[in-house]
Amino acid sequence: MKRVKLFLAVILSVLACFFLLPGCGGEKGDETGTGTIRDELVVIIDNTKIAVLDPHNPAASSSSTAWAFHMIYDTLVKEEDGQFYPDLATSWNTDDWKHFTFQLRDDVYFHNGEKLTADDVVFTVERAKENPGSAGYDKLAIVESARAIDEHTVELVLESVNVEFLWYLSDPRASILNREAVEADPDKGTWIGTGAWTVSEFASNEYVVLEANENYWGEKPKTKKMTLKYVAEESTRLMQLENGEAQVCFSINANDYSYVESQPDKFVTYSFTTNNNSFIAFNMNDPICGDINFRKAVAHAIDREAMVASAFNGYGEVNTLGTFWGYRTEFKNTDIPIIPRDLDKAKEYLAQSKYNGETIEIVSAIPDLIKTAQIVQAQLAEVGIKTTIKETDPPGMSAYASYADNKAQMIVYTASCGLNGGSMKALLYPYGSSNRASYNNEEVARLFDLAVTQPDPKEREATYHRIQEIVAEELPYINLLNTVFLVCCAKGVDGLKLSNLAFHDLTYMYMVE
Amino acid sequence: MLRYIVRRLLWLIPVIILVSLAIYILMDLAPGTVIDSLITEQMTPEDIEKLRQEYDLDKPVIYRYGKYMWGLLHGDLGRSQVTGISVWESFMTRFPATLKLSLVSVVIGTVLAIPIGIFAARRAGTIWDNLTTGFTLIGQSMPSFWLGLLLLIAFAYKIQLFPAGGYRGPSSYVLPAVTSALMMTALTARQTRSSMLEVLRADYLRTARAKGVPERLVIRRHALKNAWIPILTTIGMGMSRFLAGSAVIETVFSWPGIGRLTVEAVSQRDVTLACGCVILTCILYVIVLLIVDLLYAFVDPRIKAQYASGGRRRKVTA
Repeated sequence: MKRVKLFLAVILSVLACFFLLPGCGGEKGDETGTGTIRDELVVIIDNTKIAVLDPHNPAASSSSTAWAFHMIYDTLVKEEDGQFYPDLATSWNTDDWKHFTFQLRDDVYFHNGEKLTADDVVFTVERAKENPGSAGYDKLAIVESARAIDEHTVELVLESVNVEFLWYLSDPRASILNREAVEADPDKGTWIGTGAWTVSEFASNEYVVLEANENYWGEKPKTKKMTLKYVAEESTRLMQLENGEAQVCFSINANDYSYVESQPDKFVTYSFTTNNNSFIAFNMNDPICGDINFRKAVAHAIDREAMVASAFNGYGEVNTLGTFWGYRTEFKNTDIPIIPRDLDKAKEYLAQSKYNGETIEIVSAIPDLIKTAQIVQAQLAEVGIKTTIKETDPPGMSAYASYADNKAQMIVYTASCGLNGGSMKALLYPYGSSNRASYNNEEVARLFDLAVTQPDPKEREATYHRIQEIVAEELPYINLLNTVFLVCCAKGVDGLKLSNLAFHDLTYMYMVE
Repeated sequence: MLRYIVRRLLWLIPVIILVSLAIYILMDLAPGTVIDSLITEQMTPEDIEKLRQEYDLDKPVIYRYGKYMWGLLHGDLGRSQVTGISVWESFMTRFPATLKLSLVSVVIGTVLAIPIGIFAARRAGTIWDNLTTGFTLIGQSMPSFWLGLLLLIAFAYKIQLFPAGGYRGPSSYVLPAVTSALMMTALTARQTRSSMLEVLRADYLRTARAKGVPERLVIRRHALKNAWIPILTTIGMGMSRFLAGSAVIETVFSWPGIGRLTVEAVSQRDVTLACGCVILTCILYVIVLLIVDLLYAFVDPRIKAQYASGGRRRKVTA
């Protein structure tokens, strides 16, 4: 019996050590005047997950994938507040906005030790064009041909004139890959970039572990190791932040925002407003929703503040303009007044419309927007519009409400809006990938085509403003709000560069303990 | 016995055909396709059509299914339609995490359940029996996500004894394993109790006791040995269920297992990955149940004799 007890005691002690000891220990880094910079940071990414580390893979379109791309790769140019600066290219020139020549840096090496050459740029462009559906293709498909003039000079010829090309080049999904690495290993060769961080471990949809690139050609990161990981459960994310298992969290539940903000001794928060619009779209081919009077009735019936308060816990920027344009998209027309909530006017327009008491179907996806749709439903009921809500998921939404085959009547959803004016084509151009309204106006399409050929910003501004005026008159969309997101960090975290597109740059993020 | 094993394994073929066909048809009926997860801003209708052709979405579902099965016949589970990563690789990246968690859960579940079941059976009808029955009832009916969150709050957040999720180091196994083991503990304890109750009333135990065999030995050597079959079945079923992965437990504890992989594949309409995951899970399920069946033979000599005779019934002579 004694032997059995002794055996059990030994087993229990071993188990206790096995389970409890790994939690001990920590990381200390460089001493600074104000404290010590932590060597390792663990970042809980948003809900988009990192499925692949390959800009030319269709699964690489998520925002958090772009964060990893920012860290692993470099682009030819980089953008800040609508201005373009050298990155891998030291200079560039174009005479006609169709032929571009880029001069590359000659001191850049990939993580595998290969030197960056013009051939890598040619390879990247050609590979992107072979992969439709990928974000890299999205940015580089307009390049008709790429040619290495010499080892450090590359010429890109576009299919047509496009004055917004540099916007595309500055996107992290247009990053430059290494030909040799990718050809040698098509699966893992894309992990090789020229960026400030190297990939040390990657598990699809789970985590990526990055280490600072000691040989980086630019400013070196202060942190030595960073893990970007996906945590599925929202309450678990907050717990991990609370008990120090993670230092940064991009995706805590909006219900917990006020709690985090009330703990300034523990946390520091940063916020950003997404450029993506949450909207109501009307199927313009539907007999009732295609009627402008019905659309105006809806526009007068809705109360955006109630949506932000109820569906987004107050964390949303209510749209105050009548234009349907991205939150920070260039050339936004701020002169178009919003259609105010006015229930009497709503009823007047409804009486003039083709609506005769039918039940209108509102399609929505994503929990916050489904809640928004429910609020829209209640508000429309106030003026006598009967609705029913069809809930789906994002692939279901794309199938149900696409430009060519739109089975929906009204849609409450969100769409990605870029910072360049041309990015709004996705919503307003015939066959646009996010054109949930099946909106087709020849004049709008012509003006979009014209805008990208206008190098003069003033002319381009006039064109984009005109587009917004036409869209505001026809009202295929009602812009509701832009969500405000809170990034919660342990106290001492800094160096984070947030983006309205949610393509945040974590390259120089650090934490002083 | 070999013939029996081969026969059981051959049953996998119709199971795989039926399961994969069901997945293909069900996912085809769901709104949206994998293309809808991949559409980007600048894609033209031509690009989308090109992708549709590439994924054979312009062809009937039966054609796609036939093509998939042809690949499967050649040992190719295909590649994820979303990420392009091989299904086998995706599965095997996650499988170790699921396997380890399953084993730890089964060990915890069994170690707790059998003593509880014996304890309750020996004190049948007493307050202790009622208490253990109550415990098993709670264990069976408590939603695992709720229990998981409670354990997280208590042990990861308040006491900070274990990490709040993740798959890093042995300490990260404790909370998810305890959560998933509790359900199994409840089931196995109930099964042990009822099996033991049946056996404890048997004549041969009364004889053993009459011969003066200590109660401890009566239970361990005579009663438990004869009650093993149903207990083993419950443990096997638990193990199979764990190996199929639990999307709920994996979500709560950020466990990179195959349950979540399968759910994500379905939500992205990634038929190849979803189908591959389900087929591999089916194979695991059948293998575990086969192992359990084989273990019967070691536990019960009567079954061993049956295997030895190739499952043929003995002729009964008057």
